[in-house]
Amino acid sequence: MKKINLTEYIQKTAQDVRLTTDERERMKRVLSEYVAMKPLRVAPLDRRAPLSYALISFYAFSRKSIAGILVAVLLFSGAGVSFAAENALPGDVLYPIKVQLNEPVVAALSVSQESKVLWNAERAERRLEEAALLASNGALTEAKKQELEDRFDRYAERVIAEVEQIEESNSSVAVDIASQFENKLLAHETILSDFEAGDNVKRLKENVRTRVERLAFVRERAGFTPPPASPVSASVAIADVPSVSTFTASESARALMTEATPQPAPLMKLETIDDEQLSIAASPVAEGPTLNPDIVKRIAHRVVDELKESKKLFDRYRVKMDVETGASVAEKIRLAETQIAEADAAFAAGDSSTAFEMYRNASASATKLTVAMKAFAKSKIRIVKPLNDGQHKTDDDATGSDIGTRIDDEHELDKTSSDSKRLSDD
Amino acid sequence: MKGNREEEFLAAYNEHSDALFRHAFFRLSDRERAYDLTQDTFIKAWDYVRAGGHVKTPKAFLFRVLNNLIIDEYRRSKSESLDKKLEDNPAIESMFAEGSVWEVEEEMDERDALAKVRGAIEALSEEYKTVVTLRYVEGFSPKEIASMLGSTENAVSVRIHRGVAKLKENLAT
Repeated sequence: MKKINLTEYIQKTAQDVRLTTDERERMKRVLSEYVAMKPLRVAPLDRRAPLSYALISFYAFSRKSIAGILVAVLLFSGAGVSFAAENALPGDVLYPIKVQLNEPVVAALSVSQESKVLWNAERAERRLEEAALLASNGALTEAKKQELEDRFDRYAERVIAEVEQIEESNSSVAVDIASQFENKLLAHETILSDFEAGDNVKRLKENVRTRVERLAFVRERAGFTPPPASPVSASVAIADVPSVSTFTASESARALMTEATPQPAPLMKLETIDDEQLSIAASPVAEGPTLNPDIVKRIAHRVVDELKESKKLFDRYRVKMDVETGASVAEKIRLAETQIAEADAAFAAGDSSTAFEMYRNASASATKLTVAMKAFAKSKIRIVKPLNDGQHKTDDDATGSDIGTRIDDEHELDKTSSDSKRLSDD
Repeated sequence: MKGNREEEFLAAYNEHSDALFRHAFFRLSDRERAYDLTQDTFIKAWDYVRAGGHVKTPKAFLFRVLNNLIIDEYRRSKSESLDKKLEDNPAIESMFAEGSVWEVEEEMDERDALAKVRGAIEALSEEYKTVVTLRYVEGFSPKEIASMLGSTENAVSVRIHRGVAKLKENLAT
C-alpha cells in the first residue's frame, strides 16, 4: 500500500477537462455578438448628449452617493421622479436630478441659440426662486446659499456672454433677450429683498444687481445707435449705482426729461416714481438716438406674450389671493393692457422710441406680476401684496413728468416686510 | 472607457472559461450542459455589468453566477430538495481524523487512480461536490467559496472536510 495525497489527485483529475478549441471559439463568437448587440451605454457627461446618455452618465456620477435608491427609483418610476424633482430644493434628495439631469436634458434639447440662452436664463432664475423659497422657510444655509450663488452666477454669465454674441448678428434679438432677463432679475431682486434682513441673501442680491446692470448696458448698446456727437444720450438703465459711468448718462437723461422735456400727456403710471431711483427714461426728441423698429416690434410681441402668461397665472391663483390682492393684480393687468394699447398707438404714430419705452414698462410690469405670482404659488408666506404698492397713488402722482413705470425696490421692501409681519402675526 | 469594458469582459472569458466549464462539468457530469451553463454565465455577467453593476473580482463573481445556474439546473432536474441531501451521513465523521491521505495498492498506476478519483467525485452528493471541486480543482479559499455560496467560512470548511472524507469512503468501496 502506498499513500497518496487525495487533494492532489482531485486536482489532477480536472486537468484534462477543458473546452476544446472549437468550443472556446464558438462560445467566444456568441459572446462577442451578444456584447455587440447589447452594448454598454456609458458615456462621459456631455451637454449635447442625447437623453439616454445623460441618464446613464448620471447614474455613474451618483453611484457612490445616493446611488442605489435613486437609480432604483428612477428605473422604476422613470419620468415621475424626473417630474417630481422639478420642485426639489437644494438639500433635497431629488435636487441633483433637477439640476444635473432634468435641466441638462432640456439644455441638450435646445437647438437654436435663442432657446439655449433663454434656458440658461431660466436656470439662473430658478436658482433665485429656490433661494427665495429656502429663505422663506428659514432653510437657506450657508452651503446651500453658496451653491445657489455659484449656479446663478454660472448661468447668468452664460446668458450675458451669449447675448453679447447674438448682439453681433442680430441686435433686436439681443435687446429682446437682455430685456426679458433683466426684467425677470429685477422682479426676483424685489422678492429677495424680503429676506435681506440678516444679510441672508445680500450677496446673492448683489450678484443679481450686477447682472441687471450689465444686461441694461448690453440692451442699451444693442438697441440704440448712438447719435454722433450728441451730448445727451437717452438711456434706458437701472440707475442704482452711480459709480458705473455708463449709467450716469441716464441720470442726465432723466434730469433733462424731468426738467426740460415737455411731456405730451400722463400716458401711464403704475407705480410711484422715486426720483433717487429713477430707472427708465427715454428721450423721444428728434436729435436723440435712433431706435431700430425691428426691436420695437419684437418687444411688442414679447410683452403681449408676457401679459398672457400673467393672466394665465392670475386665473389659476386668484382663488388663493385675498380680495385686495386679487383686485390689485387685476388692476395691474388692466393697466398693462392700456399701456400696450398706448404703445401700439405711439408706434403707429411713428414714435418708436416712446413706444419702445412703453412696451418695456408694460413688459416689466407683466414680468413682475408673473414672477410674484409664481413665488406666491410656491410659498404660502409670499403674497403678491407688494405689487399693490403705489397703486392708490397713481392717480395723484400722475403729473405727467415721466413716461412709464419702474421698479420701486425700497418701497416694496417696506411693504413686503410689513405684509410678512402681518401674516406671521396671524 | 466603453471599449475597455468590452475588452475586459472578453479577457475574463479567455481567462476563466476553462475553469468555469470544468467546474460545471464536474458538477453536472454532462459536457453539453456544462458548455451551455458556461456560456450563460458570461451572458448573465455581461447583463449585470451593463445594468451598472460593479464586479470586483471577476473570477469569484463568475463562479457565483455559474453556481446559481447549476443550482437552478438541479432544481429543474431533480425533485429531491437540496436540504434533504445536506443531511449528514454519520459514518463520515469517523474518517475525519485521517485527513486527505488516500491509501492505494502499490501497483495501482496513475491513470487508474485518476479515473477512480473522478468516479468518486461524480458519486459525491451535490453539496460536497461543489465545495470540493471549488476548493481543490479551482483553488478557491473557503472564504471565497463561502461568499459565492452565501454561506459562512466555517460551514464551508466543515463541508469541504466532510466532502473529502466522503470521497475517501467512496474510494474505499
